[in-house]
Amino acid sequence: MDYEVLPHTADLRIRARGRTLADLFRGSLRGMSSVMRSAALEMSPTIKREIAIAAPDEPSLLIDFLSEALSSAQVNREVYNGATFEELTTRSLRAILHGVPVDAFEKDIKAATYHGVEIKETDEGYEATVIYDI
Amino acid sequence: MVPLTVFQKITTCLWEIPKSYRADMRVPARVYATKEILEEAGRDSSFDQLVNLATLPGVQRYALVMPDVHEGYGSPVGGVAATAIEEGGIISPGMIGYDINCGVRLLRTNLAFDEVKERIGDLGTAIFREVPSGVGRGGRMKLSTAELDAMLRGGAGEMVERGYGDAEDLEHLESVGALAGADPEKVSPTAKKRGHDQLGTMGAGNHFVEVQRVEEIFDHEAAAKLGLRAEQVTVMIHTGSRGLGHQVATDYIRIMLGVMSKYGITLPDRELAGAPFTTPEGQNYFSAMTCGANFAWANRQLITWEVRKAFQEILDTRDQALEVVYDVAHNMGKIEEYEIDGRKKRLLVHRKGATRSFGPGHSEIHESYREIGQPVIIPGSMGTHSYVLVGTAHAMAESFGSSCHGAGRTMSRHAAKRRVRGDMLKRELEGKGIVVRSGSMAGLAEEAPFAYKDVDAVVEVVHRAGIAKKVARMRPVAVIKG
Repeated sequence: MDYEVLPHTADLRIRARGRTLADLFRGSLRGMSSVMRSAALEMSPTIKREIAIAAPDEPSLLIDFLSEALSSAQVNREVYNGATFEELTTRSLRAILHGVPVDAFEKDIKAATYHGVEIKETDEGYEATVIYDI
Repeated sequence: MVPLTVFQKITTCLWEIPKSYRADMRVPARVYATKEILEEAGRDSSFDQLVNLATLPGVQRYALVMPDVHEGYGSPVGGVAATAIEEGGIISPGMIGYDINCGVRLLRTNLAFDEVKERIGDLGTAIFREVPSGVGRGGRMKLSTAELDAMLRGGAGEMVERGYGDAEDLEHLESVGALAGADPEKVSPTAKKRGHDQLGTMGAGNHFVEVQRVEEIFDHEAAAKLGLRAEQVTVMIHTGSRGLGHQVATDYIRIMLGVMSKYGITLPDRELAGAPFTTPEGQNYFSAMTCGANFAWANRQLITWEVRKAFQEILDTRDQALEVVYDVAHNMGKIEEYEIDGRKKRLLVHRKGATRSFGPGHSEIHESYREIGQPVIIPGSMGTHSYVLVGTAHAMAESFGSSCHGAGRTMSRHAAKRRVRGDMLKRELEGKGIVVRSGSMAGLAEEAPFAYKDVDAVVEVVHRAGIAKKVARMRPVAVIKG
């Protein structure tokens, strides 16, 4: 599994792992999407959304990426189950989100937060834990 | 984790973490709690988050947390921090939180529970139909950008202008249901798109509409002023600014992170990012937050109309007008004046999961309530008591006119779901005479009463500490959730 949901008293905590930074970002996205609409993760994507983000550092870039995907999902009523990265540096990215339309969300995620976020390098690659307000 | 040995006991309900605990603290930090609540909250990161509030530039006197404390994602829930506007004090969008002006409105009927008890199930069904969660389909009102902008400026008053309520409804809303200075230009197009069809929707999570009966009156004089009496049917609405507010916070936390170095601000948590209130970024956020707050008041006003419609449909009488008792915000930044070291100062009071509790005589309280203090509405967890209290002079002197906001979680949603299934919980609550209408059984399980602190104990702390005074206690008879 590229992500796992961990306990938090009130909100939602998801840890993602990836061999590469792109895998980590994708895993985090899929973790968030699994809470929004779990069945959407296994569906063949029919929608593409282009996004481009610049941020002051790597952890902020991850949160801004997730925030952008969350806003797009809420506005367009879609859930994204994958992403391809045309560019991914420590401070900027250009990506295409792949997703499916949904009629409703299982959970109303309000936001991806910056609280305590850090991207750790591990023996297997990268790891990050993100807290979401729900 | 802050060790419990660090806490200095001020009273049996108030504890202090001295400023010397961490080098970056500008002021001490205080916790309103019994020893039991203190020990329980000490198990997660609540108090580290509280200490972080004590580092905010311009923070005055002490950072505070209320007895419904639990860990959040920046501020602990129950957090209060006041920064001095004229002394470079910052405004922190992350401290105010994503659900700007999440709050509670209480309506009173002139019906006694006995008169309607046979129809409670039908009432629950009708309210469930009229007040959508908005997590799937949108609400009944789809606004153009110009109409939405008017709503962001006018709040509950604009909703009344459109025919959803009466002018008298506005008298008993905190800030009359609209803050001044809202500039819709400061709200991003994405935020407007997220919110444009969400008015009149309650959202999910801990948001709800509840039909209640007044179980006990503690202060008969104040209750009479508020039009509350034993056995009366009341309705409570708990929701906020929905996707619009969430996006405003998201947008501005990102902006603040980008400008902190310009203002020489470093903070222990990115999520608390802020800028001095008087800077362009501080002003822009405050104006956008004001829009979010007004959107939330418009939302609770439209839900009030929806609840009235449900009552009319089921009870078919003309004499059950639902009147507004009061409407409070519990995630908000407000400009308020307090005396600090003998000097009057203009402060930006951040409340995250804390309710304003202005004491008697305050000019911002409507004259009909002014002599008793501002009503403070405390929703309990599902199936447990809710309370009405009033603010006190002591709160003005000691807690920046603030009190608690609810029971406060003590167990994760995940753990709650492991312990009970939604359908079992529904049966259990219905066995206790509480009708449950919910769009999601899993969502219901996550909000199980055992996942929260004992609201009676939480309210007892603020009452004993003197920062709010108990007036009435209600019991739910129908719970409607998204």
